[in-house]
Amino acid sequence: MATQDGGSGPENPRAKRPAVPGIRSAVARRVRYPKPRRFFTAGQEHAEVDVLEVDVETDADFPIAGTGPALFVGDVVLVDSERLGERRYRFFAPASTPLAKDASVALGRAGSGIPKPETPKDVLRLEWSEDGSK
Amino acid sequence: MRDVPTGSLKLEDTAFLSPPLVGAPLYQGAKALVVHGFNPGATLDLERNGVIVLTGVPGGFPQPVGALLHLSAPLVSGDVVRARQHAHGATSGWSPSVTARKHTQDLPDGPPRPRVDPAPVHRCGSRTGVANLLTGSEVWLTANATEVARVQGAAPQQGLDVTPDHGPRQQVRAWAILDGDPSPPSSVYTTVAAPLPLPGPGFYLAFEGTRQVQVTNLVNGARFELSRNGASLGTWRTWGDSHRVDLPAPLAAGDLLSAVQWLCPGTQSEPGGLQVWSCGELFAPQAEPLQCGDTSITLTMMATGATVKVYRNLVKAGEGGGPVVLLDAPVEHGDVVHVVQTLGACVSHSAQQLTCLCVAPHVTSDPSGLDLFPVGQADYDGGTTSIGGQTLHVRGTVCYPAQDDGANAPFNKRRSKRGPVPLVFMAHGNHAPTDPSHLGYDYFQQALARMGFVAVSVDCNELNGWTGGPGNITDRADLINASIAHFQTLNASGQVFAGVLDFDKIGLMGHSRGGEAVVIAPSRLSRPRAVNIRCVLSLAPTDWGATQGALEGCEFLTLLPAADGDVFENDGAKYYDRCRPPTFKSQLYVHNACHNFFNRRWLENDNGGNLPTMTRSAHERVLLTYGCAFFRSVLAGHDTLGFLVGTELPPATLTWLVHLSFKWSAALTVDDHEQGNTIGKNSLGQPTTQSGLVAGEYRFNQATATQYNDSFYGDSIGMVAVPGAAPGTFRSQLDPPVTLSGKELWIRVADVFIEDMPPAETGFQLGIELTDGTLEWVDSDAVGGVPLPFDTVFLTKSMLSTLRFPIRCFGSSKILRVARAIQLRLNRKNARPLAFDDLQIIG
Repeated sequence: MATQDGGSGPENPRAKRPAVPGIRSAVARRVRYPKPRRFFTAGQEHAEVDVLEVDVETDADFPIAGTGPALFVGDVVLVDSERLGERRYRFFAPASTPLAKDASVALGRAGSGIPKPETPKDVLRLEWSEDGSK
Repeated sequence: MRDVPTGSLKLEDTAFLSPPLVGAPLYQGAKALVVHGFNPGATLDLERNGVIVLTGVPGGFPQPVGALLHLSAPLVSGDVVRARQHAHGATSGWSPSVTARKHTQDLPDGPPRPRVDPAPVHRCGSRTGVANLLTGSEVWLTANATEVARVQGAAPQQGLDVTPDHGPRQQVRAWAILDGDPSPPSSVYTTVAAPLPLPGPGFYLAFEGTRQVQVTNLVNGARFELSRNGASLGTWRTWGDSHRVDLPAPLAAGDLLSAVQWLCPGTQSEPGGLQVWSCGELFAPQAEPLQCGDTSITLTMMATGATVKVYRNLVKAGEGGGPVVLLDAPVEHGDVVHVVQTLGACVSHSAQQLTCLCVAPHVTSDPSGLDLFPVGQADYDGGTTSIGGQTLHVRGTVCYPAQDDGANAPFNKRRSKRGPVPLVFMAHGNHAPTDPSHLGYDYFQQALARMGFVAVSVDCNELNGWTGGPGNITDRADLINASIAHFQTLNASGQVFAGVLDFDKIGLMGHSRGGEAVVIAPSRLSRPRAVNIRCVLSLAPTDWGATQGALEGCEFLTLLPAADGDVFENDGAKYYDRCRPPTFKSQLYVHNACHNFFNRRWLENDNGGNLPTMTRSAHERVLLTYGCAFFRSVLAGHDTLGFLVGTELPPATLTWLVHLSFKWSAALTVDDHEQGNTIGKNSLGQPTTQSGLVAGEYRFNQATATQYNDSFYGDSIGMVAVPGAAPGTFRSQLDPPVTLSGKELWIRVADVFIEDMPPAETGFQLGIELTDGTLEWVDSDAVGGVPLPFDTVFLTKSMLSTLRFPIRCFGSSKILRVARAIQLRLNRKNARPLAFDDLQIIG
């Protein structure tokens, strides 16, 4: 039986923060809401009826914590979210948010500091579905 | 501090004997008082209003509780008492005088609530300890409403021998009265059977020559028999834990001590024993760090029954039995102090050597320990309200000062007669909605209620779960405000709270997302009318972007867990920097603290155990002590702000892990770098100069390009000074010159983290340049030091904390000091870039 090389040393468990879940798909659509939805820009609250919804499938769930998921669509970060079901999240943005048609998507963390993408950025592209309404 | 061989010192003994201390405070009606700190075996005199009323009273041993001296007539307000001791032919000076007052001057709600200490009360227990007593009060115990013990003229912690011994499942309560004013009864303690077999007693080290031994490992209420070399010395009752026994003759080296203990018949323990150590093994006593100007020394460890001698510059300056020994004069900068202990003719083989530090705050009282009232608890339900398009329940739990402990107990009548009561509203953060997170601060609620606050924990669980966004924060803020409004209704027409609540004195405490919510709740439109939110405690707050403004109009405290594995950027640092309070703001950066352990319902260590993390109880202790100090100061006007300033330390708290920032709004700011006038001018508009270092102004945040590096997580502009090859200085001019006598210079500082953890602390010197051009320096190490960054490996931060430089540290305090400039000098061999901010003159 071969003996493994002990020179590699143990993995450093503190090398980086616990990873966020990986992203499997991200599908956006435009939705008109019957009641306005709240959004915040630079700390200021405003209401919109024309909303972008981005449904994201992940390979694991985010923990329930003070911080939560952030979605990067190109350089735009979305932090308004709710969980639809197991490993499925919906992110919200005003319809005026400039999301590029085939922008790269990545996940990060919101709720502490400036969110940064923590999954690879150029692996997955945003898809669009038919516009919907509520 | 270090130990040095006593034999290498030429210590000069004198006849000086330290005055003892009279336990304070003293109140009218006290039938006894306590004298501390005298030599073992000394005799005591007591003077009352200039007349010696007790002479040559044998003091016995000063520890554990001092000598309880009974008075022929109770004290009256205005009485002035003091004591002195006689030992080995010498007489001490008189102790500092203590003037008796009416207890209602300090305790308008009456004597504090007695507490059985230690608990529990055991079946067959023969003695019970009661604490939280006013000196000289009368205390008694009841079992099933029948009196079983009484003591007239009690010590602050008093043992009571009970007759008969406690029976099974008895309801035991302690009661106290002083000057005709009864305290509330203690909690009910139901007697329980002690686990069997009872442990064998232990002994604290006993040395040749001692006439007192300390038996340990004792069970509450047990009797124990002590033997020396097989011969019984007698049987004692004990309240438990440890018990000091005074002996008829000194012990000899090699003597064998043994003890057994029992409760009910047939429960006798195995014996525990100790062989008495020889004189040559007597170690040095250990004392708290000295702060220059101290007039006493406090021992943290000494041999049982020993006498402590203190030498200043090798000449005796104090002698007593501890734990506090008064000195003949204040300790001054440069004095070398040695502390030894003696037992009979035996002197410790080594002495503890100390020099005073300019700033070394002492442990004082417990800001969370004010225990006045029974605690009533209730769930409240204010129906539903519409918030953010959702229908949410307005509900939670409340703890309040009550007539007696228990659910829905009536509000405390005496407290309500005195006027309405301040309220503290608490809000938890995000967690599984099935877990009742609002119950996780019960320990904090109860502590606040015991001292007279109404403490509400708002149930925000309907907002918990997998949801994110600023709206979740504003919803929480609105739900907090809805609970405030509900309590206004209860105050107007409720059962328990009708007319007893003071909405002019409201404090908020929020944790995690709740910590962000309380920052914005005061400015939300949902805030009810006629509500004055005076202060906000933001614990490990998130930043979801619900606000980018500053909290205004409230005093502010934020607690930042350095080992936070959830809110990893310690966003409260931004709220601290932005906050514009009426009087002060405070920040605690707590090393080894994680995010979750402040809430008893949040069980997991959020950092995964990958970072050093203190125990859950240590987390709670930090929140309790500093949080109570904060709310007591702002809402009740108590003198507890020193714990946040750093002039005093709370007991039983890991204070060395707590790094304070504190800023007065009204102080003279020499430089906070916020004026946009370049590094070349300070906040006073006066020129600055630098030599031997490179200093520049940078944003201490994550958001902008003008950072020094990415290790800063606040939101201010500050200065980073990068050392050159030789010691470098940064000079900030004062024009006109400023008289500094009696004042303090404060500055926030951080060791700038750059890639790797430094191996050791660095530091700097702060100097005052007097009008005649002379410079006087004080080192940062003399005022607490520059802490190392807390190593989180992936996100180590440069987190600033405030150092206080009292002017008394700069040479003789008697000289009037008028300064024309303040200088910073990077003088270390291991000098590294240091971040500075908020250079202020205080006082």
